Amino acid sequence: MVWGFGAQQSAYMFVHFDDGPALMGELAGRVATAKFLPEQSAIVNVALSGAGLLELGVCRDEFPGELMDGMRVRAEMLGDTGPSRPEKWDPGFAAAGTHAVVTVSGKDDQAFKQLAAETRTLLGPQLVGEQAASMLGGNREHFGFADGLSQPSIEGLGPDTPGQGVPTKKGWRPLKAGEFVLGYEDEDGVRPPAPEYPLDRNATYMVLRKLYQDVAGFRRFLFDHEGADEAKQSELASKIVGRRHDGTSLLLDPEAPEQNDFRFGGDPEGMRCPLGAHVRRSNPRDALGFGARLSSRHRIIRRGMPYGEPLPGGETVDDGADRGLIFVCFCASIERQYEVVQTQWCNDGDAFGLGREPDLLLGGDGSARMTLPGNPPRFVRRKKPFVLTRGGEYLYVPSLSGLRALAGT
Amino acid sequence: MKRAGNRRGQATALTILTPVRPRWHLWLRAWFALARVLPLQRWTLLRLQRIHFARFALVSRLDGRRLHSRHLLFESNFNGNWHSYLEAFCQVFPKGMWGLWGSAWGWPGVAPVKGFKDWVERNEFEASHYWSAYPEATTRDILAALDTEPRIRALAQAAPDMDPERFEAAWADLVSAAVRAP
Amino acid sequence: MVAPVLEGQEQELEDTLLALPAGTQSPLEGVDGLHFARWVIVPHLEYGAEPQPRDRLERQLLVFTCTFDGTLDRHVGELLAGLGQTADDVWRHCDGWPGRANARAWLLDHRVRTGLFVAAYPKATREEVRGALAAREKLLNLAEDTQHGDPQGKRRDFLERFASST
Repeated sequence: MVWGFGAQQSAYMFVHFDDGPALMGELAGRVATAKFLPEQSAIVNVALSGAGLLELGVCRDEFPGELMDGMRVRAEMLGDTGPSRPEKWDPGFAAAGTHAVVTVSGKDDQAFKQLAAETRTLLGPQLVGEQAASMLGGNREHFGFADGLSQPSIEGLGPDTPGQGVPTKKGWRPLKAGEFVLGYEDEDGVRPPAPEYPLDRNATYMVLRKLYQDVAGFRRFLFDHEGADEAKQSELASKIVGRRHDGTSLLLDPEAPEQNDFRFGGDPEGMRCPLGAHVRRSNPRDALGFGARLSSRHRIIRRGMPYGEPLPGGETVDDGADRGLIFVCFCASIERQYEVVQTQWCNDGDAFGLGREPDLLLGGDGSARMTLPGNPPRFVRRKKPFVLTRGGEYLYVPSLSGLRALAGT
Repeated sequence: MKRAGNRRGQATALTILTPVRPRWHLWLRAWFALARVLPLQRWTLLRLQRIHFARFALVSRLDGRRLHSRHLLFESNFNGNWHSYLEAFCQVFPKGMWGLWGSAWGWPGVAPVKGFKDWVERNEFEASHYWSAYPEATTRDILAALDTEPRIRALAQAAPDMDPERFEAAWADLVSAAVRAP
Repeated sequence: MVAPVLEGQEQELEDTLLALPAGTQSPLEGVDGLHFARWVIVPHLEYGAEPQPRDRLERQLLVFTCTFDGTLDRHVGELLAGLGQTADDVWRHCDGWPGRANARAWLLDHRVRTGLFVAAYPKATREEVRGALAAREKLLNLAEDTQHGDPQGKRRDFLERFASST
């Protein structure tokens, strides 16, 4: 799951075990492995919740506390409060007590539909819910921004693109694999804490969240602040996100070939890319001072996908349809990586000298202000969030041998 | 998550007591005296802008009698969570840590960070009651506020005599300065 | 400061401390000049490593640490005045507590001298910190509210809110 697959569609299938070990055995024969990945048009993978792992007979102490607690228990700390609180979550998405999430992804429509149908048959009555997702045109997400461009460069896995790794004096270096995959050395020079063999290698942790996007609300916000001037609306939106709609960085010339090769050190006051812009918060690079030492241990791999039909262009009245992003990320420590990004960089502004200001795009649960640096600075305020959490769970993704061990074979 | 008693709003308490190896207390005392005169080490600590106040104290007698080892008491009031605070320290202040906590029996070093965190966890004590006079403010909030307040007073004094244009410019400068993190 | 806890009273002490209301209802709120404070119970000493000679506490310890404005002498007075009954409720579980009316010498006696003190804002008093925080927040709110207004209006609004700070 760490390799990018380039899927166009996904189905997230929520499973409640009748016979967990047997199901793991069946799935072990079908899950994707890195070796055969490039040849396949559709793949299936499985991830287990804390509850699911207990059902399969593991010892609670072997796994991290946050996984065993589950996301619901930690919702308040994560900022899933007010309209984003668990009581308001979609009951069909990773409902409480979900044991596993089986993900079917496909590059080719026919192959995907076939594999999804086969998987449903395999799961039978153990399938208790499903969420569909599919790419929108141009790799965009529902607010209209190109997404998924910035991913960590990992040592030994895939190409090392400038700007994706850790900034160094001379350029960039890839991150240690152990930041994302158990069983390998991490940035601390050791193997990250892991469960007992054989669950301790080639495995990872997954964060799954259903994020509803109020597209009409976001568009109305832009109108309220900039009137009908599309260029100004676009500029304000770019300042909030930290990239232009086509994914180019605010710190680089739009024509520059390597759109990830930049640092924030040259923009310390946030005049070009605001201090609180979304991309600056989710991957601060060198913006926290002391080189990148304070951010390099908090990177995540994102593999999410939009869901729902797009709201027709120009429409500012909500149509009541469910749309947004199925957020998926992978890391070796949910608490150290994902939760730090979510709680300290997204829901709060202190790391950037912004007090309590949350990420205007997707942090906080109510009215929020964003400071746009300048002389004088400009303040924009949203009355309510543009993004609401509608569900989620923490999961463990086993390797093939791990899966066989859980099957009891 | 683990140590709820140690949180109050934005502030987190850390209290550590460690046994000091023989004769190292002399090094510590010398270090303390030096640090009083030269602010170097404190400056590095403070550059992180996450500590409100912290102190080290050498304890010779506990429970009214001398123990075999002297003990080093450390208490800190800081922002952010326990994990990222300790990681940040290992990343940016390793020499200082060796100088202070290197004195301890069983000192694990600062790398890997995991070993250091485990050691802190073993040697720390949870507060039964923790209080802050301004719990919702972080160190940065306070530093920014202390920097801004005299500027406000200065403008309040000068404003009645300013024409609108000059005020507008001075106002823009004031707000820019207020927003800027120190 | 560090004081031994009377044998048998450890649980009662912990219960007393845990029952103290938090935040602005805390008894420490009434102590002038106080920035931060904590009570910590040390039930045992952690062993470091061989060949450290083993130390064992015969009694648990109650540690009280705080950061305050002004001199130590004045602070001890403020502490006792501000805590009132709570001083007795907590410290009577410690060996030799003479009652809050006579506690000054006892507190000073149990004090541990600070070796190294690190302060992000060493000179600001508590009132100055609180005042500055309020002023800056007021300023930023005003900046947001008036950002589209005219200069005269801005100046008027500013002086209305801040003129008394001169």
